This record gives sequence, C-alpha cells and structure tokens, in this order.
Amino acid sequence: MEFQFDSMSDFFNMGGYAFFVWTSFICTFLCMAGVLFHSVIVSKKIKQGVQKERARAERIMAARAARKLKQQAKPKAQISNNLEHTEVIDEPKT
Amino acid sequence: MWKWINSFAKPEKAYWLCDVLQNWFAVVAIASLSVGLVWGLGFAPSDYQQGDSYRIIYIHVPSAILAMGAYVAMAIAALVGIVWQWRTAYMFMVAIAPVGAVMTLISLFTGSLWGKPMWGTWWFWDARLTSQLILLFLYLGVISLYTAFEDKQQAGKAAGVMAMVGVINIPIIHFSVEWWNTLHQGASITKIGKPSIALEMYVPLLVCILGFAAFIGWVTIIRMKNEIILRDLHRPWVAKRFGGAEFASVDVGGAKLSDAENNDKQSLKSGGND
Amino acid sequence: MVALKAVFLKDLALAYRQRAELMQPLMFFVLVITLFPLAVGPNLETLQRIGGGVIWVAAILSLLLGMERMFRDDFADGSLEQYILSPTPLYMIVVVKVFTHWLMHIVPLFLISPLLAVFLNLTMDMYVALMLTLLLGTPLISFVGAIGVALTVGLHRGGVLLALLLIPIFIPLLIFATSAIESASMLLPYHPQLAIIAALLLFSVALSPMAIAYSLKVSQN
Repeated sequence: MEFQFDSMSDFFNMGGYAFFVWTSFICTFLCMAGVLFHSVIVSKKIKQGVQKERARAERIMAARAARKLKQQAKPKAQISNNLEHTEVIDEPKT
Repeated sequence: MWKWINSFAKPEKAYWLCDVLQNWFAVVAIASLSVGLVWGLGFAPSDYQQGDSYRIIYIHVPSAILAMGAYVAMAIAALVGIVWQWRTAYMFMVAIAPVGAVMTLISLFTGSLWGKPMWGTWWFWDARLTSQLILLFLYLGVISLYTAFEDKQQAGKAAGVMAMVGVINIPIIHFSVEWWNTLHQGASITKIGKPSIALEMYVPLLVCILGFAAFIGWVTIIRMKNEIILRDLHRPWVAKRFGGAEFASVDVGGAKLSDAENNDKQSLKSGGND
Repeated sequence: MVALKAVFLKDLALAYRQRAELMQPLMFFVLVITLFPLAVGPNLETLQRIGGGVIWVAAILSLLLGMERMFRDDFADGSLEQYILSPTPLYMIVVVKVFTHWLMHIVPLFLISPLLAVFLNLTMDMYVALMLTLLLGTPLISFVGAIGVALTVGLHRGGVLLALLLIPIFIPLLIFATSAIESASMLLPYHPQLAIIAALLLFSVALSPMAIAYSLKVSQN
C-alpha cells in the first residue's frame, strides 16, 4: 500500500477535482464537529443549570431556617414584657 | 435477564450505561475515522473512470447508509417506547434524530458535490439522492412534531408513531423512487449503480462506515445524557450527582430533619419555586 | 353496529350542515389547477404533459387542507373522549369516521374533475386513468393522513405541520398515480400501477385504524 500521489501538491490538487473533494471533506468535518460541540456545550450548560438550581434551593432553605429561628425568638421577648406589666398592675395600692 | 434489561428503563441506569459506553465510542470513532479517511484520501488507488473525485465515496456512502440506519434505530426505539413504555427509549429517539438528520444532510451535500464533476449538474433526480431527500423530510417531520408538544411524554409518543409510520414507508419510498427514476431516465444511465468495487477501495470504505457509526453513537450518547438530565431535572439523583462538590455529601433523600425543614425540602423537590 | 351507524349518520349530518366549509378545499383544488396554465402558458401539449401530475398534486394539497376537520370538532367539544371511552372499539369508530370524511371530500372532487380535465387538455384515456387512480388513491390519503391528523389534533397550529409530516409519505402514491396517467396518455396498459396503489390502500386500511386510535388516545391524553 503506497501513497497514491506523486507529491503533496498533487494530493491537494486531487487530479483536478480539488474543489469538489476538499469542499466535501471540509463541510462534512464542520457538520460533524458542529453537532458534536453543540451537544457538549449543551451538556455543560445543563450541568451548570443543575448546580445553580441546587445552590438556590440550599439558599432558600437556609433563609427559611433563619427566619423560623427569628420568629421563635420574638414571642419569648413579648411574654416577658407582659409579665412586667402584670406585676406593675398587681401591686397593691397602698 | 429480563429484569436486568428492564432496569434500563430507569433514566439513572440508562445514564450509567451511557457513561460506560461514551468513551469507547469516542475512541473507536476517532481512530476509525482518522485511519479510514486518510487511507481513502491518500492510499486507496485512483479510479480508472472517475479519477480522484471518487474519493468522496468515503464520506458519501457511510453517511447515506448510516442516515438510513439511524432512522431504523430511531424507529426501533420508538417501538420499544410505545410497546414497553420505556421513557429512556423516547429519550434515545429524541437524541438520535438530529444526528441522523445531519448525516442525511452530509450525504445530500457530498452527493451533490460528487455529481457535479460526474454528471455535470449540482442536483440530479437520481433515485438514491431523491430517497435521501425524502428521508431528510421524514427526519425533520419527527423532530418538528416532537418540539410542537409541550408535554414531553405526549411528544415522545406522537413522534414515536410518526417515526414508525416513516420507517414502514422507507422501503416503499425507496422502491417507488427507484422505479420512477429508471422510468424517466430512459436509455442513457450512467452506471454508478452497484459497481463491483475493488478490494483496495472497499476496505477503507468499511473502516469509514465503522468510524461514522461510532461517531453517531458517540454524539447520540452525549445527547441522550443531556436529555436524561433535562427530563429528570428535579429528581434527587440528578441533584446528588451534579449539584456541585459541596452538595455531594448532602443526603437529599431526607435524613433526620425537623418537620419544618422536611416540609421545606418537599416543596423544593416538587417545584423549587418560592 | 348501532353505534357505528350513529357515528356515520352524525358525521354526515354535521358535514352537511357545514357545507360551506367543505367547499373550501374544493375551491382550493380548482384554483390551484387554474394557476398552472396561467403559470406555464396555454400551450395545450405542455398542459397535457403536466396535467396528470398537476391534478394529483392539487388533490393531495386540497385533501391535506380539509383533513384537519376530521377530529378537530370532536376533540374540541369532548365527543372524542366519549368515543375513546365507549364500548365500541375505537378503531372501528375511526374507520367509519375516516370513511365518512373521505366520502364527503371525494364526491365533490369527482364531480368537478371533468371540468378540470378539460382545463388541462387531458385525453379520455388519461381522464379514465385519473379517475381510477383518484378512486383508489384518495382513501389511502385519508387513512394515512388520519394518523397525522390524530397526532396533531391537540396542537394549536398543527396545520402546516400536518402537511410537513404527511407529504413525504404520499410521495410513492403520487409517483404511481402519475405514472399510470402517463401510461394512459401513451395508450399503454396501467394495471400494474393500479395494482400497486390498491395494495398500498389495502395495507393502510388494515394497519392504520390501530395507529389512528393510538394517536387519538395520545392526543387526548
């Protein structure tokens, strides 16, 4: 099995059919590379989207947990205030 | 055995299979394509009649054959999806459709570029080119039907029916177009039909066919993985696997959390909307 | 059987009430055919050469236009769901519906076709071949087209998509029908083409009702 062309310039010339052969090969290569890279880029975007979604979900849960803690702290403060008031009211008038 | 086969109906298992196969297909594709195309371009003997322009055969024939093959694969996947209700079968069908359409485009384009030096015109109503054109329309029909539906389950079934109707029609179309072509060609037919091809030209052709097939498999696997993640976006296994390094250890399945936090997790799982 | 007869009569009655809507595909058919002499010139020989093909292409397009109404109204008002749920098998109801639809669309087409044969300067032999191929081929269009209609009935803008899906599938029928008309123009026998069209018709009548029923269930969800 030997190289069929006498020289590299002969190879590029393809016996006069250079335009047809090389356009076919290049366009095929571009189409195939295009579909491959498109799929890979979409894959990366989807995975980034999943990460962002997950991070957002965590942030939302953390914010809810923090809000719940704040709400649990509030009523305790109000109860202690009421007790002070009742003490004042219940003090017998001398 | 049936239980093992049926386990691939689950997207997670199918994703695992895709992961395993992806690199093999990639290696075979790149190796076969480079060997086959270089062999065909530089080392296969020049044709006595057509000179060096016949070398387009090393892209035209594989892409034409595999465009048809991809459609048949798509139809088989549609059949599996409709009969056995496999979601992953529909995902495969959706993944391979654009790849098959690109292959058809390549075969049409290279066929046209091969025809110009041979027959003198850019387009000619040769039986096989016409069949490839109709095949392209069938692909575009399946793809556009799938995208027309919002509910992707429904979309998969509808596109599946269309794929199966198309595959039944492919031999009918092929036969009728070939018959029509011979009818209208008249006596002067340039016999590029099925020439007995020399072995030195045939072997690189086989290698190219293998390379193109592996390439189709590679890209389809990538697209199928995308489709699986997209369709299963809110499932726990997706979040666990792709949610980022710091969340890899989070037990999203619901460990010992307080009732309030469990409620939060439930509502986030279902919609993620606040 | 009673249910099937009821479906048949109901569809006939509804179609008769919407006569105007039935006229539209027919007018489209006539107009498209009229366009061709205007486009290619009045040379009678040219018109005869392309006449069979033109009438067939126009028939396919006009049938595609009119096909949407097969299941659209039933889908909209809920009777499709009742058909799916009824004890009569859906595929039998579907056969009756498609047959009725075909009848409603083909009879006007047949009545108008002598006029169109005159427009395009067809010979008597060609005209007979045209009628036979239309008779055998249009039910094929209706039955296979019904699969596409059933798939797209729930979509908002399914009209052009329907044509995109179905036209590649009608290409063999077009090839054989026009070849029959061409053979007739050369006074050659065209039984083989008619036989193939009849075979395609039988094949589709046998298999398409199940496909149509399944597609209707998918669309109805």
